[in-house]
Amino acid sequence: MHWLRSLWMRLRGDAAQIDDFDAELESHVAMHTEDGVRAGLTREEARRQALLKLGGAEQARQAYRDRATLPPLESVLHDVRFALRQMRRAPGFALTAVMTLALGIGANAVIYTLVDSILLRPLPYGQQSRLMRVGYGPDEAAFFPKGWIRTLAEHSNAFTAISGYGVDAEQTVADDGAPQRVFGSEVMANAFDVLGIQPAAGRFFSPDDAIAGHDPVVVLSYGFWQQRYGLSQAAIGQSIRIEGAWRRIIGVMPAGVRFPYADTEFVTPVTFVLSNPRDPWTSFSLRAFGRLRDGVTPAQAQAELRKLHGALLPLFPWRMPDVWAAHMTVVPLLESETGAMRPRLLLLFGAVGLILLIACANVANLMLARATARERELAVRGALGASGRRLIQQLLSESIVLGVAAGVVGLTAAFASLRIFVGLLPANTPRIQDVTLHMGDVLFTLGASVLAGVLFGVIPAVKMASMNLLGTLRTGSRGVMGRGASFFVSMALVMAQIGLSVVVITAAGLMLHSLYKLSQVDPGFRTSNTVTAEVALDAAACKEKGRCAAFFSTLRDRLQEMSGVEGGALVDSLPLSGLDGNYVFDAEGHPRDPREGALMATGRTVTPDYFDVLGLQLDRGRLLDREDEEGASHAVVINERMAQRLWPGQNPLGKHVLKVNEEPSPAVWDGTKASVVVGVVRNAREGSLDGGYEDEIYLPVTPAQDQPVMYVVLRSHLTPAATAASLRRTVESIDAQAAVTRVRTMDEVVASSVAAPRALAMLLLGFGSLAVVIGAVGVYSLIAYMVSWRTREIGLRLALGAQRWQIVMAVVRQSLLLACGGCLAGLIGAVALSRVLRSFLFEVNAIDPITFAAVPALMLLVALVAAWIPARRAAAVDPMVALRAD
Amino acid sequence: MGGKTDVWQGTLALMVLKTLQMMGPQHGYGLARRIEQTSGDLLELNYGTLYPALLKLEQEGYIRSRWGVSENNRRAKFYELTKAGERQVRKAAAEWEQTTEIVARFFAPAKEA
Repeated sequence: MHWLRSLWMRLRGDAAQIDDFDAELESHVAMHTEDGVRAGLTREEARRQALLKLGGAEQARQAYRDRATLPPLESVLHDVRFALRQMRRAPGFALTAVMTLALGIGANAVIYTLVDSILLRPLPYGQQSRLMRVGYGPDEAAFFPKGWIRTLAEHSNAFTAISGYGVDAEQTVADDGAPQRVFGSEVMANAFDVLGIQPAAGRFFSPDDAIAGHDPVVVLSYGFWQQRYGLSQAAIGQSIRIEGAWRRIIGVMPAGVRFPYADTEFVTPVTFVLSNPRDPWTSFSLRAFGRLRDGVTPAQAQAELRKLHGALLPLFPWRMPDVWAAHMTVVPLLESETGAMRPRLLLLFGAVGLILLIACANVANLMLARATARERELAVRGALGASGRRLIQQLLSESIVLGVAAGVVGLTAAFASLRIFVGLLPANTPRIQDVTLHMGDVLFTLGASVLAGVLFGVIPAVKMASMNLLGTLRTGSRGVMGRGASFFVSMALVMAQIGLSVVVITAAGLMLHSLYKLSQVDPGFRTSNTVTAEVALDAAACKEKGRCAAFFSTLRDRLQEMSGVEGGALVDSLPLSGLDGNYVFDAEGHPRDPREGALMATGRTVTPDYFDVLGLQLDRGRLLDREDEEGASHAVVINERMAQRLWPGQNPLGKHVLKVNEEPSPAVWDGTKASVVVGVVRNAREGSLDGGYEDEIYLPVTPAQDQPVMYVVLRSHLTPAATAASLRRTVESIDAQAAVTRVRTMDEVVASSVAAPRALAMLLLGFGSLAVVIGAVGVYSLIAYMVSWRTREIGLRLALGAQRWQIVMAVVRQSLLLACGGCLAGLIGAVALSRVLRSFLFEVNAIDPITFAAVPALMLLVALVAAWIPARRAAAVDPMVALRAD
Repeated sequence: MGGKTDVWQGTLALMVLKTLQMMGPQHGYGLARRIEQTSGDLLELNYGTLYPALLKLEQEGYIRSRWGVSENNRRAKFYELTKAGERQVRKAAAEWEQTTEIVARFFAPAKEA
């Protein structure tokens, strides 16, 4: 504490103290002199001795003054004022420097904000770092039956609790007003306790709420409470109709909690039917998460779960395949939620980091150029007694003032443009709703600016402080021959700039090429002139026997009658939507031990016109028809790949498959329930564009397939808007309660399936352009500076008979040389980074010849353009004027 | 350069505090003479360095100063220990003794070998 007090005293150090010391010193010398006189010296000699012993009165005063105040602080303030004066004196320099740096810092602030908000900021749960996702295999978010989760929780020592939640499903909500489609999910009753959060109003689920048949309840999201009930406490206890069933509102999640999904507006409890022992095990619909016990690591928990797996598997009421969930995984929830976004954001972060370096190099060069012009000023200061340290301090202060100014500008720009960047990211980016500028981001930016200031200030400062004072003073003006050596650092800096720019735009180029490849992928089905939409009845409607089936059957017929429509079909999951259903089955000729896993394909329930609307080609056999919808024929159609894999070299027509749910017990064949393959269609990429073909099985809409939600796929001459309007009218005329949502063209569906790579490519392209612009400014300013420096030399050459085009060539050659050096370095850097980039690329080699040729070509062009103006200026030099100058 | 001065200044501060504790209030010149005497004139003290050291101690709150009149009827600034200063002397003295004792062990002739 004493040093603090001391610092405070020194900070307020006042002049009166110094005067006081003068008096004290006077009395000291007087006493010392008196003693001397008493010892027999003359008065003069005694006084001389006293001052000698003191080490000089002025030196003593200076030492005292240094201690009384904080001298470094004073000189810093002085330097800052000086730097501001310098900036005012050279506004062009200041503006260029501040703007270049502000671009770099602004880009960093934006991306760091995204990194911080999405990847780093803790989830809004109690001790969130102890929350783990429990999955298996490569799929962290795998599905389990509720019985399995409950059993795991009972037996695990590594977890204090394990819970689960279901999928995010759009559902119809109504009370007195118009029905509304909102997303809801189901969670196990203990979910909120495991998360460690408190309700904003009411209560969360109790164990009783998990018993089927008890009073049905619901918990709302804070946003939904606000939107529908205006945050009124009276909402608690009210009832709300969800999917046709009334539920009592018992509580509200706290603000800022979006659980389990970003757009979930309500959650209902997962219930157990106590009278049915099979009930907990039949539905594989819940994702699991748990809270680790203190002191247990995720790896230990994972090891425990894998050990438990074998012991608990027999608890299933039927024989489960040993491979099911055999490799359970435990991953921190935060990491698991941000998943695929993490590497993309980090890549962007790397790119903007490089841009900041480029900007720094740029400003360092500007500083260096200006410092060279100020050599004499500094030489004079040095000659007048300023120490090297003092000169460095002054130059560094100037850079830091620049850096901070750029930081403020950059931060403002980042704040203003953050929403635009958020808009560029795919809509399903995790936690994107929570992206805001936090205090930490501001501090990061300011820290980065100060660091940038030091970084670009240190080269010119050291270079200046170590210069030869006498030489500079004696030369008096610029040397005739332009002093090649003093450009060495500048040239190295510009080459580094170009090199870093090359790295950034090479990355951008690779992503663009990869995106192009993706866009060239033939999905194998028709996408043009096709409109899709989701049509939903509520789940209760299907409880009335045949109502859903009748509705969709009528809809299917009416679709063909709509004007302008060439074909219309219904399907239960759209291709490329990422929401395909699994069809788990056994196949004829593939006997299986119950302990092994069954076969799996993507199952799509379709109306017969689906093949025609999407243009799926029949390879052999026949397509589905109306009669198949009665359910008696058990007909299915499969794709070529599935036929090849199951029955290579055989005729797939007439072969049988049996869904495992239909089997009396696992792996036991029941011929009466089996489906028969009646046709094979060509492969299409209905799963994803960048994945390969998948096994597909197309099932007819049978009475057993009765479901409340189907997608409409319409091929039409009309505009998408007109088609959508017409569809809404048609649906309304059949059932006024049915909702038509998510109207998109098939092209949009395809595009949104590659939204993430596109966003990455676009952002990198933007940053790449930024890098090139800043790099071009760097090349331009160095070349322009070199030309102005060599004006006399150029004049001399012209006077001696050099041609003007030779002068232009010399300048351009200089610029191209820089570009070549930079490109070479940059390409080496890009090759070194190829391992990192590879995972982001689709069908493009990380050392892609096209990109690796185009980028240097672009850079050479930029160098040419940047050299053009200075070269013209050089050629226009008047030899007489140039030689007469000085 | 830094290390040597630091040690010296640190030691000087301790000498000042100890001297003030022994003699009571004292002016700067008197302190300087006394320190030299105590050292048996082995120390050659630059008097100019004493005052910043005194100021530092005062800023840290270990001593305080006021103007008074010297034995020769001269106006002089007198320094005296504060409560915190008293504590600091005791603490520093203990630390010093321990340090010297430890160092001394390295130079003492081996007793049991």
